[in-house]
Formats: sequence, structure tokens, C-alpha cells
Amino acid sequence: MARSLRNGIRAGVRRLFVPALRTSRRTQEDLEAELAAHIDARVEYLVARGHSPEAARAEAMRRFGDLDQTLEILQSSAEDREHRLNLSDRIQAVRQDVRFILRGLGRSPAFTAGVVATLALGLGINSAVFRIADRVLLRAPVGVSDPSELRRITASTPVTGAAPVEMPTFSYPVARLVAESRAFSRASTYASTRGLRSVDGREISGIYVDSSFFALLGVKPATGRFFDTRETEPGAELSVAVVSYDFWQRDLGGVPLTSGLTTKISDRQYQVVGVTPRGFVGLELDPVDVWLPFGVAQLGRAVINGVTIPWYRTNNFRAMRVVGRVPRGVSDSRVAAQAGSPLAALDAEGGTQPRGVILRSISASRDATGSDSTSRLLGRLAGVAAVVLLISCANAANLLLARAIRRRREIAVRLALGGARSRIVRLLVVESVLLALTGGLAAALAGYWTGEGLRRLLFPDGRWSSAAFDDRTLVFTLLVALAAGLAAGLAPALQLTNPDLVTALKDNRHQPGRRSHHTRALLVVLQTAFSMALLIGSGLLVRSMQKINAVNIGFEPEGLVTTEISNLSRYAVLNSGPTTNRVTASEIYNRLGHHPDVRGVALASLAPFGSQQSMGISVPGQPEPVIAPMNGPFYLSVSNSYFSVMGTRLLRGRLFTSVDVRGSLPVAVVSETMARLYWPGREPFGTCILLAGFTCAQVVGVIEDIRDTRGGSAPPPRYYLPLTQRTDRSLFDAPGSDSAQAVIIRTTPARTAAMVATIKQLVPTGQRATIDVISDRVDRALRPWRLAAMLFSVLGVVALLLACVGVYSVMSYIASERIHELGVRIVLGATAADIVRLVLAGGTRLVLTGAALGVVGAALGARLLASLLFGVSPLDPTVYVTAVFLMATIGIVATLVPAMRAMRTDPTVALRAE
Amino acid sequence: MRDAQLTILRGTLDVLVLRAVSWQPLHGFEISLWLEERSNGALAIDDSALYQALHRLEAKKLVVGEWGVSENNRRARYYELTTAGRAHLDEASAQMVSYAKTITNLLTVAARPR
Repeated sequence: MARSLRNGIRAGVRRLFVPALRTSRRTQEDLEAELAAHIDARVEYLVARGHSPEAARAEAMRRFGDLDQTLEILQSSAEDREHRLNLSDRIQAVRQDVRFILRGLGRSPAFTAGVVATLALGLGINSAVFRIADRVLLRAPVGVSDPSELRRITASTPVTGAAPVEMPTFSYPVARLVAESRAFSRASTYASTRGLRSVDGREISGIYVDSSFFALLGVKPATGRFFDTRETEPGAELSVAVVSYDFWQRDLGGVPLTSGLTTKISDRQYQVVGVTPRGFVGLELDPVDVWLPFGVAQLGRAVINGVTIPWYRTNNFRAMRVVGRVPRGVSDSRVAAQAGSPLAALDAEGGTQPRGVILRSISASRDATGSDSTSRLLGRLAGVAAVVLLISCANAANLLLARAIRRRREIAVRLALGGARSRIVRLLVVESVLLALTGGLAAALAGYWTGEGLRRLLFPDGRWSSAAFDDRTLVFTLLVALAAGLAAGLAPALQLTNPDLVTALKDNRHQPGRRSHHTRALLVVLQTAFSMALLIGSGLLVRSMQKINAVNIGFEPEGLVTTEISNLSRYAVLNSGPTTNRVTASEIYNRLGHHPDVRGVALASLAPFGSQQSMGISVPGQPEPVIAPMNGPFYLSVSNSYFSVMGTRLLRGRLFTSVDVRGSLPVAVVSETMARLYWPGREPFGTCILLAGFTCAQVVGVIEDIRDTRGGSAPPPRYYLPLTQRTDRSLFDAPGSDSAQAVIIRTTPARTAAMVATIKQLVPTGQRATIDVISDRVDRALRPWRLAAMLFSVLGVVALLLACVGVYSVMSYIASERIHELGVRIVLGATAADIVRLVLAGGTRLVLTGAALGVVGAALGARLLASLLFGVSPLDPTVYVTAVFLMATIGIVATLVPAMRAMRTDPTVALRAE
Repeated sequence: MRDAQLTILRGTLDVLVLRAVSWQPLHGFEISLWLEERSNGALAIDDSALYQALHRLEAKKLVVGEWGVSENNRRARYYELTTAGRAHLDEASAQMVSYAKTITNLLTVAARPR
């Protein structure tokens, strides 16, 4: 391997890397030759004076003394000397080179700016992507010790006839079961919570943890203590809190804990017992304000057959995350098998339970929602950024080559005068490295802003930000710049110092080396190919975006505002805080009914884009369809106005009316998907849905699917029950309770912000209420596609511009080189059109070759994009044809300018230049 | 004792070698011959010591060595005095001559003055 590598490198390059070896060997040969010459000379001298040759040689040797020892002494002192010399010489030489190069660059500022800008563009994109990727994917969370041993543990739920589904959360009992497994050297469970409020009514972020959470991560309190097992026992109701360093300083004034510091969080007074170290945020990226023990958590409850079960006793309330440390030297798969084994015996409790666990590294899936779509996007983005860098390298190489060709006579003179080829190569390479490092520095500076912008695009909800000065990004950028400089500089340098080129001295000035043409043409072809591939990639994503925007989401999002309120009576059992001065969804519904901005208002058990609810159902006489776990069928209890307020269309049958009241025949409306799955090939009317085994609800209508889940996924089956009939109530709640938790308000798009403010005034401070502008939620759901389309388009355009510059510079250079030939042609009667056609043909050929290669590359690479595409084939012909057309047009335009210039060639001038 | 002697000899040898190449570039054997002839064979210097001196002088940049062709058409390494070498030679030979004179005076004085 090493051998073939050595032989594969041209001798000139190889010599660059082995100067020490060469010096030492030459020294030794020189020494031996010198001493041998001396002995020979003395032998000759003695023979001339009458000695026999043998006697003469013996005498010469005697006079010399110990030959071998002398050689050794001289050799080693020579080496020492050379070594010292080389070092200072080399420093001197490099300093000279740099000064020489800087002078040269200063003389051609346009060229310098061009190369630096080209490289800075490519490097800047990479710097920005690295800055984010480093934070999200590579860097360990702050303050966590030995993060490589930590694993995020997810649930694996089997599905009949399909691959198991992986989910990020467990129910509390299952989470404990997993965390207490002996497979881990230590494990812990935690749950994030939304809607906590500080004393001043500001929303703060909180995490419920068990007693081993901080110890597991290896974190020590900045002051005070963390929780003990008594406090984290669910239902313990001991009001203690640990706060973040920032929260302590900002909200609590950094008051010492010894003074019995307390703070009010969401209507409840907590004693602050500890403070986490500065910068610690747990395992996610977003800052956390407070950590609360599971003992005070009120996460919900299930009512099964009239029996109330708190969240920590049921296997069907899944909000717990589990994180654990794997013992050293034990494979992840073994740990997973051991930790997952107790799950096989879980009681199904009427739901589908996880039967195994999966171990994930804590950095690769740091998205708190458990989705890795952003990381995937980031990965693709890094790939594309690298391609853009390659394009900008090719472009810089092209510019460097053009300049070097202009200097080829100077270089040939240097070579002819005995200038070492290695030194000239070094000059050219150092020049491009200097340019690249300058570009890299500019990129690293600009990368801060672009990186921060990219962060806001990718993680708009994230409250973390990248550091102003990020040494890792700086080092990365400069290293990449160094590599880019070497890559861009080496080809032109080797090309130009090729021994054949020495003949350039004698050559006619109008006949440049054919090889340099070939190199430049190759670079243009490569650049065009890469740009072509990127252009196709962005085309595919833009089309996906169009397709997604065209998808019927089953309701009208503009001007829709929803409010979800945890229902008072539902949580009364667990709420130990004050229950007065609270507002219910029905009260908001009643009060907003007459508001001038309100076009319509409806009640529902849950708001769209929030959580989903389901119960065990069956359709008598129909086989059970196969549906993935956690994917429905979901139900929603709604007021009669719900569908008209949402803007959802009725497809067949009827909607709920005033006749559907308590005591009348229970009815249900089903979604299109539900109808298709449960009644394939027939109408559902006249049959009924058996709710939780005893109420039979007659299907009276089919409505279009509402897509309020992730942008591209298929809508889950749904059915709707009238709130007025209270068909859901008998199963889940004590009599008299109200299952409506959500108010859906239709206003005009212009009044949505005002409406949010109005609703906020209706909700007392301290009460949990989630107010959503639905168009924002839709935007957020579509964000991955929009982002991908936008970012790829930007990069595609950058690549296209770079390719355009590349084609233009090469074509105008080639045209100017051929000015003599063109002059001759004009004299011989070629028309202007002939000349234009001639130059155009050359350029078009390059661009089309590149485009063809790019199409092949894109076709192969587009499969990597498949997960980011929606309703578009990776081989979508429209995209490919459009992209090729665009590329060809731009290529021709870039060639046209030099062609026009060539057309105006004055033959007398061209010929006189001889 | 032996070391001190050697040090003096070495310094002396260096100056003699510089003198040898002060008129024209010479190669090692020519220098060796010059020393032998000019001292009428009184100074028998090891060739090994000579070459060490030459290389030492070259390292100090008092002489430069360059490959050339000898009278009888052989490749030989010729040593030439540098500017620094000439300055060093002038200074060192002046010093050594005055030193030698002093020593000579001391050792050859006819009678102890009363």
C-alpha cells in the first residue's frame, strides 16, 4: 500500500516530502567520494615516485589513519550542521516566499479578491453548518461527565406484519422497570413539562426528575443539594425545587439558600433546595429553569371503568424519558436485551405495550421531541456544503491556473535558470494556501452570523445560541481552509512546472501547453457537474414543497386560534392547589360568542396539533384493520359548530345537529380514512361503532381528513362524537364533569394576534392554558420541508453562480488565447457568425458534458434525499429537464460574452501581435 | 595534558590549512602535500585530522568546498577561502606569530639578566 502510494506520486512531489533523507544520503556519498579521491591522488603521487601500486596504496591508507572512523565523524557532524542549516534556511525561505507572494497578490487585487471570495463562500457555508452540527450532534452536553457511556433509551413496540415502532417515551411504571434494570450501571427517568409559570406569570421550562438524575449525569450542585428518594416518590407532594444558576441569579437575586429561599411556580410555593452549576441544561439543548421532583408532578390520570388511576400507576400514560449509563466493556445490544427482557411480561392494559428497548447515543438524537428529522436535514446539509466547497475549490483552482498560465514564461525562466522545481511548486501552493486561509478567516468571522441565522432557521423554538467565539469551529474552518488551499493550489502548480513546459520559452506565445487547457476544461466540467447535481437536488425539494402546500389539510388554518385548558374537574382529584378563580373552556366559549372579532366559535375535547385521545372500539360485523400503535383511531368530542368553524367539509351523510342530544340515538361522524379502513368498499351509514364495549354510536356522516400531525404523514383514522350526547363521558368521567378542554375560535387572519391577547386576559395568572395560532402550527409542521427547500435552493444558486463564473473565466481565457487563430480565420473570410459559433461550440461542449455527468450523479445521489421528499420521485423528469435547461442557458450566456468579444477581433491587430 | 596539546595543535592546524588555500583553491591532497613540502616533512599530519579540520572550517564558513576537476582529470573537492576566512586567517596568524615570537624569545634568551 505504502509502496504503491510512493510509486504513484510523481518524483518531484515525493522529493518535497523527504528532504531530510535526501540530504543525509547526499552528504554520505559526497564524503566517500572526497576521501576516495584523496587516497587515489596519494597513490598516484607515490607510484609516480617509484612505489609499486600495492605498496603505494598501503602507504596511503597508513597515512590516512582510520578511514571508517573518520567517515563516521565527518558524517555525523555534517548531519548536525545540515539539520541546523536547513531549519533556519527553511524558515528564511518560507518568510521570503510569503513576502514574495504577498507582493505578487498585492499587484493583482481583483484576482486576490476573487479567489478569497470564492473560497470564503464555500468555507463560510461549511463553517456555519459545522457550528450548528457541532453543537447539536457532536459536542457533549455541558457539565455531564463521561457522556460516551450515556445512552438515551427508547421503547420498541412490535407491530403485526411490520417493523417495530420506536418511541422516545415510556409510562412511569415501565420507565422505572427499565431504569431499575441491572443492565445499566445507573439509570434515571425524567419528563419535561409545558406551561409552568413563574411568579410574574412568565412561562418557564421545567423538568420532572427522579432522585438519581443528577448523580447519573455526574453533576454536583453549585450550592445546596439535589433531591432525595422521598421527595421524588410520585404523590409525595413535598414542595421542593432545584433551580438553574441563571434562574437563581435572575429571578431569585442569587439569595443564599440557607435563608430558606422559596419561590412560587404555577400557584404553588416551593422551597428552593439546590442550584445546578452554571451552563448545565440537562441532556437537551434548551435552557431549563427549574427541576422538580416527580413527587409534585401532576401529569394526568386515566379513568378506567370508572376507577381513577393516577399517571404513575398506568402503563398507558407515556411521557417519561429514560437515560442510563452502560457498564464499560459490555456491548449495547447485550445491555438492551437485558434491560428490555422484563417488558415481555407487561400487562397490556388494553393498549399496545413496548416489548423491548433501543439504546441511542445521547448526542445523535438531541431533538427534545424525539424526532431526528432536523439532525437528518443537518446531515444532508453538511454533505451539500461539502459539495459547494468542492465547487469553490475547483473555481479557485481555475483562477489560480489562469494566473499561473499568464506567469508561465516567468516560471519557465526560473526553471531554466535552475530554480528548483520544488521551490516553484511550493511558491504556488503556499500562495493558494495563503489565499484559502484568508478566505477561511473571513468565513469563520462571517460564520458566526450565518451560523446563528441557520440556528434560528433550524431550531426556531430553541433558546440556546452558539457562542460568539467558538474555537472548535475556528479550528475546523482553518483546517478545511488549509486542505482547500492545498487542493486548489497543487494541481496548477504541478501542471505548470511540468518539464515539458520549459519548452514554453522557445515556444510561440500563442500556443499554450495543451495540458493546461485540458486541466481547466476538466475543472469546468466538474464544477458544472456538481452544480447540476445541486440544482437538481434543490429542484426536487422545491417541488416537494409545492406538493406539500397543495395538500388538502382538511381545514382552513388562516385566522384560527385555539385555546386548550386543563379541565378543572378532571384534575380536581390531583390538584392540591387553590381551585378558585379558574376559567373553563366552556366559559371562554360563552364569553367569546359575542366578541366582534369572532366569526365562529366551537368546543372540542382537545385542540388540533395537541395530544390525541383514543379508546377501545370495534365495529360489529367488521374485521379489525391493522393500524400502527399510537396511530389511532383517535376520537374527538365536538360541539355542533366544530366542523363549520374549522372549515372541514362534509363528504357524505350529515353533520351533528340540534337533534343529537342526550337521550337521543348516539351518533358519530367518521373521517375519510376511518371509513376506508373500517368499511372498505362500502358506506358506513347504518352500522355503528361500539365504544369501549357498551355504547353503540351510529355513523351518520363522513368528513374529509384533518391533517394536524406531521406535515407529510398519512392522516390517522378519526371519529367524532357530539359533546351534547356525552357518549364519551360515561366511560371516563364522574357525572357532571365537562370533557371539553379546547375552544376553537375563527377570526380574520389580521385579528389573530388581538384574539390571542383577548384570550390571555380571560385566563387568570397561574392557570395553565395553551393558546395557539393554528397557521403558526401548520407552518411549524411544514418547516422541515420548507427549510430543506430553502437551504438547498440557496446552495444551489450559489453553486450555479460559481459554475457560471468558472465557465465564463475559462471561455474568455480560451478565446483570448485563440485570438491569433481567430484573426487568421477572419482574414481568410470567416464571418462574425462563424467566429461566435466556433467559440460557443467549445463552451457548450464543456457545459453539456458537465451537465450530463451531473444528471447521472444527481440520479444516484437523490436517493439520499428521499426522506426529505414529498410526493416527488427522486427521478422526477420535470425537475431534471428544467435543471438541464437552466444550466445550458447559463453556460451559453457565460460563453456568449467572450464569443462576442472574439467576433470583434481586429485581424490586423491580432496578426501584428505575432 | 594530552588534551591541551591537542587543542593547540588543532588551532594551529586550522590556521595552516587556511594559509594553504589563501592563494588559490586546493583539494585535500594538495593541501596535505603543501604542508609536507613547506615544512620539509617536519609536520606529519594525519590525513584524517586534515579532513576533520577542513570540514570544521567549512562548517564555520571560513572555507567553501566545491566539486571540481583536478589536473589529471579526476573529480576532487576544492576548498576556497571565504572573506570571513581571510579575516580569520589574518587575525589568527598575526596572533600566532606574536605568540611564537614571545615563546621563542623566552626560550632562546642567552643569559638571565642580573
